[in-house]
This record gives sequence, structure tokens and C-alpha cells, in this order.
Amino acid sequence: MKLRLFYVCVGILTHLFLHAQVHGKVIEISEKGDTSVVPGVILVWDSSSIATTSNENGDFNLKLSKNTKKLHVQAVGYEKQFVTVGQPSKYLVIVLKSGAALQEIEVVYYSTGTEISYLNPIKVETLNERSLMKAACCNLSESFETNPSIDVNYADAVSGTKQIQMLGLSGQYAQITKENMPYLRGLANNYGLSFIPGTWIQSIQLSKGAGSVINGYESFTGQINTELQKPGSSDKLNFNTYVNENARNEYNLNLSQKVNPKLSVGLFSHASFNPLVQDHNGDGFADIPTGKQYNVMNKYGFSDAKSGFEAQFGGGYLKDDRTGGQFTSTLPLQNDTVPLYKIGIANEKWELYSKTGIVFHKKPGTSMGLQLSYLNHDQHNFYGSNVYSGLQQTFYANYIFQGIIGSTDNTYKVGASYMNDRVNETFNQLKYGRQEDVVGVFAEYAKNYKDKFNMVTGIRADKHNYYGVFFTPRLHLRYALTPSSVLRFSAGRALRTANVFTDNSYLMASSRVWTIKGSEASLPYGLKPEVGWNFGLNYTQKFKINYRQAYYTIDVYRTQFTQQVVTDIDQNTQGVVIYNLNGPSYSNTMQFEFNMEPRKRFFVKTAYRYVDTKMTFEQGLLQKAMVSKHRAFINLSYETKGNHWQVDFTTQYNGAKRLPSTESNPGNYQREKFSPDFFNLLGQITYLTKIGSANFNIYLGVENLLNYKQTNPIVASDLPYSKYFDASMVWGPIYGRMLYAGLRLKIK
Amino acid sequence: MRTLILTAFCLYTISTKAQVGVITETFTVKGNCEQCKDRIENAADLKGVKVLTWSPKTKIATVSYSSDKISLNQIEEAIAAKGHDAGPIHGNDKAYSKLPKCCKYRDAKCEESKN
Repeated sequence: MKLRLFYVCVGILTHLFLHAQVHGKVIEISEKGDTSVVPGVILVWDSSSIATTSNENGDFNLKLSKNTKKLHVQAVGYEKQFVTVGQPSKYLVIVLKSGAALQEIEVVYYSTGTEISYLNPIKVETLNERSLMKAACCNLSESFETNPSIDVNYADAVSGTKQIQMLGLSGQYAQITKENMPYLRGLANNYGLSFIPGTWIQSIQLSKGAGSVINGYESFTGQINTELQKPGSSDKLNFNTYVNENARNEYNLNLSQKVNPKLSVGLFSHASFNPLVQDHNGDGFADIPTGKQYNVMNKYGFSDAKSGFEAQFGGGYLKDDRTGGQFTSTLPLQNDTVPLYKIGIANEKWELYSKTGIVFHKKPGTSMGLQLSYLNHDQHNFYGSNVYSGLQQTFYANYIFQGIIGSTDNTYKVGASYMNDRVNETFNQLKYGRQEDVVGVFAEYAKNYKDKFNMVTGIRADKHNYYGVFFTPRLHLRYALTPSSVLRFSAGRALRTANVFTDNSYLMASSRVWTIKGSEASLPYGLKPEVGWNFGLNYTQKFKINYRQAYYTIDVYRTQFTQQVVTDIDQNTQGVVIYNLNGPSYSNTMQFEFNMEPRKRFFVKTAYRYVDTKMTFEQGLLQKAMVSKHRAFINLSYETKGNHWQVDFTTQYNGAKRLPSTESNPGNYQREKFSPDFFNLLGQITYLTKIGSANFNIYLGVENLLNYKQTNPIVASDLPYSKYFDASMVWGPIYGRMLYAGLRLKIK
Repeated sequence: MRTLILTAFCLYTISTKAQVGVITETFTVKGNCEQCKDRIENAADLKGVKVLTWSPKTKIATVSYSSDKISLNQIEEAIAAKGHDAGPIHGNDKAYSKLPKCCKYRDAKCEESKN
């Protein structure tokens, strides 16, 4: 018997940590050379009970055996034969050659093209390039406008920064990673979402709830992972430019090249400018700052199929400068000695990273990987007379080993991590410094029972130089009631160090006096770490409407804190008081989502969410400010036949939000107790065509179509140096209707 | 919220009742990857075809169509015209030669790595 092996496709690093399984097809080639599929062929691993039979299309799906690579192939009319399966993660084609004298079985490998099917007990929503194109402008912070699970709001009325909320809590409680390595932490919490240009993003994975222990202990509400374009598989050239009504203009150029079959290189660059001062509400303050950003990243990918060694490494540099605030005084008799209220935000960040991994061909389902990263982030801000500067240096290492127990139905991951995080800050001449040193070990076990029941359970133990040893357990269960209805449960613990200043940067845009009531002198800021639990339940039902796939899903999540750093702006309108939680603090959310394709290429996505977030302040349990209790969402998108035109339209309903108390202010500086509810409409139309071999897109869009604006977003904008001044009371859009246009050019 | 569910329910009942002559069938289409999937599914975007889904793993296309508007043979022809062998119909050779590398299923070679 001749046995020929073709190693056809090269797996890529993202497959490293997935579970291996053998999928394939049995085909027969007759003497004349006709091919046909062969059903009923029995496939059994040598000396094991793991077996399967090819179905009527010749397809089979077989769990791996840890002990052997020898596979028995029993087909009617053929002698029982062995084949050796070398690369379990590939699509396997077993060819039976019939002939008078010759009976031959041959194995051919193909790439599956898609990721190996894994019934993930963790509900992960992937925003791919198509859905990222729906909101063409401009960076990660704006990528969620067409997604109902994440709220995007302006942080304050002067910095132009957008912040997100997930499960009723601010973005800092979600673990935001870039290519599965820590990214939005510490100093990057406030402005960091604008540091990843949209054109660089390949996909975003969004999962609510506890998450895996592999990436650390810091996720309370969920994970948001951003995968960037990969050199080698992304377009050779991708150019994008964008301009809006107010002359904000952006340029992205991504280049990617294969140096040789093993090595590829990518260069991503971005520049954006906001040159014009705009004041649509006439308060004398720029609605968003003017400024510019330069951002560049160099990535390398290496992959050697023979040895199973794969690596990605690279580095990046970012510089972002913004200036804004008051440009003209609204007081009729301006005294020249009173300076204008200005703001300045300067960020400089560089990073290096590497991800290496080895897939052990000889041991099915076994691989290991190492992630290393170093970030250096320097920030200098001033808001009027509030001056802040910070420097963060983070080194992170994470080693993961993956293996199987018996078959791919039982897999495990074990590993260890190390993080060194130095943060030095100065706020109004007071210095704060900390150096966190954390060594962790973790283990995770995944079980699959007949694709009906799945479990991922993990625990990690971390030794922290400030908080001692602590454990982080996580559990995910999935149960398929029917093939089209799935129930999921998740639970887990999380811990993080609060970043008192960067978590609350928006409050610097006010005359509030900061008080930190630290109790433990040895801890960062004298405050305890934040500790919480998250529990979630999710039900997803798929069905058909007009022969096309539709589904609805119901989510219920609860995040509760046992320790939290409370930022209190209610007890004193002229102050910010920060202290350890003493009492309950929780966020309950319920979300209902319904998606369908009522007509061909016409997609409807609807969602409703109820949020109840309460925390205990010194004055009692209160509804968290600036969170809408009710939120609804409809996204309509349509593509013409052949996909030449794409039209997207989103309607967001934002319910009333509680506003922090302003009762002690003079009458004209007071605000309502609750904000009004409002709608936000946005839409975009894209034309897609080909010029030669290049894909060319041009798009035109509108944000805030109803031109709904919060009037007087700044309290005491006429007296910015008075104690009443507060630009943080923002609940709605500051900017009115905004048209934008852009184009993309991609060469494969 | 209630309106939402009601609307969904109405749409569901309307759509299940109205279509009588719709048939669902499966056939094999040759191809390799996600790029092939897009091409194959777009090729079947024809009048009378409700939906066609193709899986790169199984190479099986599942199609629902109104038999009074279009025949299975016409659908297979449309896919074969793009270079993919569809059911009994041989994929157009000229179109096949223009397929990207990862879709060259006849050459049983695939140099492009997908992720």
C-alpha cells in the first residue's frame, strides 16, 4: 500500500489554542477516474473504541485519540487498512482507489478554511470587517455604535473622548485586550479606545460575563478583544481616508507583504487631524478639541508548517495631542487678567510584543504558546488649573500549554503568567506611585459531551505584591436543549486595582476638589482593590423565518462587588470623594435581542436592554449616575445583489439617566435630577466596486441625524474658574448632525 | 418589547404560511474556503432562490427555492458558471482559471493560509 501525505495548508497562530478534531470525507476514484463519495466506511483508532462512520455524503467527524495516530479504514470491497493521521487539525480526505489489481487508500489533507468547529460554552459575538464597516468612522471607540451590547457616550463636554459601558458599568470593568494581550488598562483607560484605528481592526470578539482564566483576573463584566490585520493574510495594500463636515480628516495606510513562504511583514500607519475649532452650542468652548494623532505599527508573522513553530512579533508607536476648552469668553466685560479655560491632552505610547507557539504534530491536540509584551505610556493633561501627568510601564508574560486527555472531548490548558506594572502619577503636585508585581498560575479544563453539554472551568492563583495570594475561579456551562436552542451559564470572580485618576479623568474637567479617603497606607492610593463576581444566564433560540436563519437571545447578568472604589460626586457638588465601598454595589442587566433576514440580503437586528445599577455611597444606596435604565436599538442593513451597495441604518433609544446632584448650586447652575430620554439615528451608504484587481469603496454617512443636542452641557461655562464650573455633566450628544465621507482602496 | 415579540411572531406565522411551492434540496459544490463560500452563495442569489448556504467543510449546498420560478438545474448552472463544480455540472474552466489560489480545488493545493 502506498501512502502519500500532502501537507497542504499552513495553520495560523490563532488555531494554536483551539481543539483538534479530525473532519474529513471518504471518496472513491474508479479506474476511469470518476470520483464519488463513499458512505458507510468505518473509521476506528487503533486499539480504541473511538470510532465513526462516514455519512451519506462520505463525511465524517472523529474525535482524536491521544494514544495513537493509526486509523483503521474499513470499507466494503476493500481490505481493512491503516492510515496514519499526522496533522489532526486539517481536513482529511481519504481516497479509495479501486482497480482489478490495486486497492489503494490515500490520505490527503486540506485546510478547513474556517476555524475548527468548537461548541463554545462562552458566548462570543464576533464583529467582523463587514459589521465594522457599518460605522466607518474611525477608531475602536466608535466601532460599537451598531452593536446593542455596548453603549458609547461622551465622557465630558471638552475632551471629545468617547467612553463605553458594558452591563451597566464603565468600560474599565471590561477586560479590553489587543490580540489577547492586555491593552486598555491603567493610563489607557480614558483615551485609549481612540488609539486603535478602525482600518487596522480585523475583528472584535465580544463576550459578556466571566470569561476564561487564561487572560488574567481583571474582567468583571466581560472581554473585548481586538484582532488586528495579520500580515500575510490581509490585503497587500489597504488605503482609507475619511473627512467629516467639520474638517476632521483621517488617513490609514496598511501594507502587507510575504517575504518568503514562511515570513510575512505588515506596516500599518495612521494619521488624523482635527484642525478647526467648532462651537455649535455657543458656550465659548470648543465642542471637541483640535489636535492630531500619528500611529504606526510594524508586525511580522512567521510560520513553519514542518516543525509546527509559529510566531508573531512587532511593535508600535503612537503620539496624540489635543487642545481645547474655551476659545472666547462669553462674558460681555471680559477682564483681561482672567485667562481662558484651556485643556490639553498629550499621549505618547510605544509597545513591543511577541507571540510564539509550537504545535506538536506527534501528539494530537497538543500545543504551547508564549505571549510577551511591553508597553510604555506617557500622558500629560491639563484641564484649566487641574494638571495631571502619568507614566505607565507594563511588562507581561503568559505561557500556555494545551493538551488532551484521551480524546479532544477532554482538553486542558495550564500555564503561568507574570506582570510587572509601574504607574507613576502626579495630580496637582501630589505624587502617587505604585509597582504591581503579580505571578500567577492557572489551569482550565474543557469537556464536551456529545456536543450537547459543554463545560469550561478554570481557576487561577495569583500572588500580588500588594494584595497577597488570591484565587480566581471561573465556570462556563453550555447545554443544547435542542440542536437549535442553547442555554448557557457563567460565573466568575474578578479583581483589579482602581486607577483613581484615569478611571475618572472626565471629572478633572470641573472645579471639583478631589478627596481620596484612603485607609490602608501600604496600598495604591491607600485604597483596597476592587473585587467582584459576575453571574450570567443566556438563552439563544435559532429558527427560520422565510427559510432564512433568525434567532433571538435573552441575557441576564449580575455583577456584584464585594470591594469597590466608589467615586462619589453626589455628596458635594463642588467635590469628588473617593473611598472604599461599604455596603452593596451591583449591576443587573437583562437584554433581549432578535435578529432576522426578512428579505434576501436585508438584515434586521433589534435589541432592548434593562439596566439596574446601584451602589452604596456614604449617604446610602443610590442609582448609579449617567446610566440609562432602558435602552433599545434597531439596526437595518441592506445589500444589493452582487453587493455593490450597502445601506445601514441604526436607531438607538436612550432612556433617562440619573444626574449627579446639583441642588446646592445657585439656581442657574442647577440641573434636573434626570436627563430626558432621546433618540440617536445614524446611517451610512457604501458603494463597492472593482477597479482592475483593486477593491474600491466609497461611503457617505451621517451621525446624529435628528440633530439632537444636550443644551448647556457645561455648568457655569460663563465662569470657568468659579467653584461651580463642571463640564462632566454630559448625558447626551454635544455635537449635532454630522455628515462624513470616505473611501477605501484594497489590493489583495 | 412586547411589540417586538408580536411583530416577530406575526412575521413568522405569515412567512411560514405563504410559501407553498418552496423546496429544500442539497447537492455537492466543490470548493475550499470562505472565499469560495461567498462566491458560491452569491452565485445562487437568483430570483426564486430563498436561501442557499454552502459549507466549506462538507462541500454541501443546501438550497430553498420556489420550484415554479426556478429549477435546481438552473441554480447549479449559475454556480458552475463561476467555476465551481455544482452537482452533476462541471464548473466553467475559464472561470475556474480565474479563481484565487485558495479556491483551486482541482489542483488539490492551497498555498494561502486562512485564519
